[in-house]
Amino acid sequence: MKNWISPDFTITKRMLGIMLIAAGVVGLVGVFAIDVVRSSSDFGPAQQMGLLASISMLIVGISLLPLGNRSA
Amino acid sequence: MIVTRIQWGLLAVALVVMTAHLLVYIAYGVALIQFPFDYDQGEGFELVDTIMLSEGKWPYRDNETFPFYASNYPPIYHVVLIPFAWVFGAEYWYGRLIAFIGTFISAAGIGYAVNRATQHRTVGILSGLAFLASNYIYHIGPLFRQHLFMVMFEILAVVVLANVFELPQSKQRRRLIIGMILLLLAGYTKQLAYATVIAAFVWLFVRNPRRAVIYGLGLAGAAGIIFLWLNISTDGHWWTNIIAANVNQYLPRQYRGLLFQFLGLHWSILIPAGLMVFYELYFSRLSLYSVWFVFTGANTVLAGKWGAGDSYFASFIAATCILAGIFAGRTLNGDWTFEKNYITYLFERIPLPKRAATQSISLFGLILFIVYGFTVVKIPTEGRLWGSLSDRLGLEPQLGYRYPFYDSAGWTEGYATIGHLPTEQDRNSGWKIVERIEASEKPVLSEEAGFSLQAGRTVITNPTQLKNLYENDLFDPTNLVEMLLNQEFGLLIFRAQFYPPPVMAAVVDAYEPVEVIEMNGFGYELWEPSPTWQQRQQMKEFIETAAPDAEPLTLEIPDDRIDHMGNWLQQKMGYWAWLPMLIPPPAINDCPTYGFIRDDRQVTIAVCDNVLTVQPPEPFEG
Repeated sequence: MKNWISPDFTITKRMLGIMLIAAGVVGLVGVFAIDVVRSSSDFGPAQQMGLLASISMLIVGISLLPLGNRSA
Repeated sequence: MIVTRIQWGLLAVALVVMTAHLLVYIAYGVALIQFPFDYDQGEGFELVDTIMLSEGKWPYRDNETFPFYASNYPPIYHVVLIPFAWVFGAEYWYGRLIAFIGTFISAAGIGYAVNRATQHRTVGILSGLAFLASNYIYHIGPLFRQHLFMVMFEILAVVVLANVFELPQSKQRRRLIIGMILLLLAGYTKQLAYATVIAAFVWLFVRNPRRAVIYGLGLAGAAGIIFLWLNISTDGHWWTNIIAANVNQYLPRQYRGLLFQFLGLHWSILIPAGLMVFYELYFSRLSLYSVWFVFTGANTVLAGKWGAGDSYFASFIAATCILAGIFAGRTLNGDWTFEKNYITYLFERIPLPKRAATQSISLFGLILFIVYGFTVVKIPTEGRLWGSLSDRLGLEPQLGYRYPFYDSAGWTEGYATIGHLPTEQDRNSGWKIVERIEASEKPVLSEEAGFSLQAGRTVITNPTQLKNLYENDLFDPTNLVEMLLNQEFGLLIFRAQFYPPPVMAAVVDAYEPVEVIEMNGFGYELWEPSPTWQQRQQMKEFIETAAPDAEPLTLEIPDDRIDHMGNWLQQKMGYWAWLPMLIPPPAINDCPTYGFIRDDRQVTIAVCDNVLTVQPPEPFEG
């Protein structure tokens, strides 16, 4: 944590990858959770777009993991 | 050597094509600046906001009281125009001129960013011109609208912030503060700038979380204080009109259409821009331009809102032009370095002749710019110069197009069908409508503000704003409906009838169309108080409330313009959802009789010349 607030700290490719994966997972859960909250089985256009965005974030996030500690 | 010559040749061709687009844009801008009425719906309301602010009044007001007007846009663009309003009064030219100049500042910002990143001035110029060449930028660039003024601030903010970490530590703070101010200005020009603000902070966070948090808190604090001040000063009308009223119905079909149209027009610059993002993601560091590209690209999804449109792609086009320009400049400079990683390992497995590949890529970026130039063609098709030029090029308006204008974009829902040069006839039509307003002794309700402003009358209503508020349960139309039903307006002027349904229902009841005047390809309908409304009002009340044993109501209709009383009656009853009976009831006193059904009730009306005898409603017996 101390590193994160340092004036010279920068996010690495791996960290960015992890963040994108986390955002993608949250997005995926959210996309399907909406149906539970609304008690509806209609998969609407907003959900389709959310699904696409979440999967894209997951794929990009995973692909960044091998790039390690290079600055993002 | 040969490759270098080809490169310069392609660069020259690309510049010639983009310059041709620039000339069309300038001709359009110059013509539009002189036009004294609304060219695109909504311009006049921006002028009203400017005038109100110049008089020290907020345009964020109570919509439910006369003149039922409030603005749905933040004030920066209008504040910039205040000195012009003080000197020149209510005029369109200065708002259009400033917006038009703003697009050139945007283009210069794009060019500067590309030049700074590549040291290739010509490609920088090309990138700036590519922005102006887009069909989407072209037709909204010289309008009295705040959208591209917001894009200008966005571009300036991004350009100012993009290289902040390359500066010495001592200069970074100042640069960051300037960037924050520009973001603030963008957000208070139009709310849509939020995507750029998020992009800037995501990028700052990636580069240095500490600065992102510090400056993020600073910007949020400043923006929050201004927001609170505006909301308190306007008794909460700021929140209602700026935030709540912008939650509109979403039309997926509209976004799909616009997205495919956008891709069809801009694919050739999107490819290099996308490659640039890919390169930065895997082989270099992410620039602010790439992050901006991703966020503004995602934000185009809002183009599917009712009332939104192609202008929602403008920030994305700016980001695309910058990245495509940097891609082209770097390929020309041969300025690519690929850090070894698993992707380079994969590419090394592909047997490509390296020299040929490098030379092809160096031409690729420029060829795509040329292709782009030929994809976004648009040209007026009338007039001495443009008429003969478009004839020679074999370009003519597409089938069904209302204007003398060729636009390669075609049309899709949400795409503003403008871009033609206004004519003398359009001007005359505008003045004709103004004359009609001047002739009215009562207030005039006009769907566009320009006519009322030119006639020196109070601008009444901002229709789309009322519709948005009504659909969000934030507008009670009772007062406006009452004024309409009491025929307190001497004249109504419509172009698209974008009013809430109860308002239009009152219009149809108490007024009737008397004239249509064509301007800019639209038919402006002029409605006057209906001479038969008083009688119909009596009839409406009778058939809604009379008991089955009540005495029939006899009414004399005082309108000698009615050709066929039966048809007229059926039309008017239809407005109240009374459907004509297939088998008419028996004649009463030898007069033709008409039966109508609504829900489970029926009513019979006998027509003798211009006298109606309305029987009390009774249950419908099938």
